Amino acid sequence: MTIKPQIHTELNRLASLAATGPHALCIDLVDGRLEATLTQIDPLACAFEYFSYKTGKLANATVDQLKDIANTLSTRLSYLLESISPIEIDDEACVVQMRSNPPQKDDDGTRYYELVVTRGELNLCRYSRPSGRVRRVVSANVTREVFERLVEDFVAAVA
Amino acid sequence: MSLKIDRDNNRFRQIVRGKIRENLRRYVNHGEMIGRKGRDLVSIPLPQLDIPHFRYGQNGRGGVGQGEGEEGQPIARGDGEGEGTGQAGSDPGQHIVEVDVTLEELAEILGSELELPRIEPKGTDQIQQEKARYRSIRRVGPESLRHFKRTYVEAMKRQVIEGTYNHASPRVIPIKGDRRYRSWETTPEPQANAVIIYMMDVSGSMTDEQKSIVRTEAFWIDTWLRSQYDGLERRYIIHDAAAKEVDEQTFYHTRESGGTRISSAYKVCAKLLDESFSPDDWNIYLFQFSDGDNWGEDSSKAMDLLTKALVPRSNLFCYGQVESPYGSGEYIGSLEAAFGQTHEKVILSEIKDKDAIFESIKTFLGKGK
Repeated sequence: MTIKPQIHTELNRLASLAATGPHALCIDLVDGRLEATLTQIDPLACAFEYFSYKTGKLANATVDQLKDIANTLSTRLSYLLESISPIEIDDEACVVQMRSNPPQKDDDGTRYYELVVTRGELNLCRYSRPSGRVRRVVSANVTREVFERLVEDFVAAVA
Repeated sequence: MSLKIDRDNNRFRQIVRGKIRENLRRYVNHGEMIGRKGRDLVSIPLPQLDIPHFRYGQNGRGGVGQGEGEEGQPIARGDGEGEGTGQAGSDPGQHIVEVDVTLEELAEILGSELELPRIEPKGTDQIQQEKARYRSIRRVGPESLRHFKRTYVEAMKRQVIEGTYNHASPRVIPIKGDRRYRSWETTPEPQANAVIIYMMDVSGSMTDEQKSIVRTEAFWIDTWLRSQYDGLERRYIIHDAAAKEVDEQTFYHTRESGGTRISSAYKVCAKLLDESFSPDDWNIYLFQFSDGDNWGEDSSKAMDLLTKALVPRSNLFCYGQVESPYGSGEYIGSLEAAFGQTHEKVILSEIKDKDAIFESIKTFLGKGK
């Protein structure tokens, strides 16, 4: 079974339980596991607060390999609200932190995606930081089509 | 007796100081004089200074009417009237005058405008600083330091001894051996010394704009503390996931792409204090600037180092959180949780943009420590 039908089926199943979440989405894929916390699901779109792809393929990755994955994701994820690129690279902890570049700014403050590439996991969240206050996680709204593509791109970047 | 020009000069300096006072907030916030800083002077652009100027009379532009004249005939108004060529500009003219002000004067203005209390150095003045004073005379030296009076006295003594000095015709002609030169002696003098250690996050999330804010703020902190201590040392530490001590130029112009571990900077700072700056001899000021991002569990490690190794040894620990496009802004919360908002030595300030620098300096230096 390919990825898209799996996600489609699982989203329908969760939507049938209740439109508003939080729903925990867990799907075992060929090389890893998709985990997400969905706050809203409807026939066209969904909103997530936590999106993670865990894979054993990255368990012993070097920081250079993680950088390559980050660069691949930076090229592929061109359909989100802002483009994402590596901002900080920690050689010691072997972590690449990617963020919206530039972030979205308006009167309410700043909003941006943060994608952390670590050994064993790719993790995407969206943050909002009202001016002068601490940031907090907010739901990222995407169509179901974008959500499925996101999963495909995460899997493809690691493959 | 003071000369008239001295009075004029004093009056001019008073006007300049008044203008600087009026515009101090703008100078502080926008760092206009940084980069124009000499060793002891800064050049300040004063746009609205009215410089005295000559006022021309009406010579050659008509004058008293002569002769009969006719009814309605105007008195001459100079050369022909009419439209000139070209159009008037639409922009206001620029009348910017740069005046030199000593750092001492600038600190005094800053202190009085921000109502900064004078600092009481802690401990006694134990550091001995070698100071050179020109108060001895030598037989050799550069011509620029030749002491003419002593040279002529020596020449006269020699001529008297030789019997060549004539009272009726007192001509004194020095020869090479008569020449005397000013020379210096070094004397150890006790003085209150201070060290400022600046720490800055240069990780990927800190942009050039944030660094410019830090630079402006550091300039004013330097200016104030320099006016309070005889000897002021400055040290610079930058960090991302790792920290190192650097020079001033590198401090302001480095951008790394690494992660953020604030504890790494504290470790380097603690080591620096261990090796070079004993709290018994030095007044220690620690200034840290960051956008408030810190990775993982590092904040608890950083707090531990701060509590045990840095704060007890310092006069002040000042943390300035500069707002950046991304900075999570969480670190100031950790500091508040650990030290509270009214800690005697730990001072926290959030700097949203350049306009917040003025207040931030007041917050940092307002304790008089």
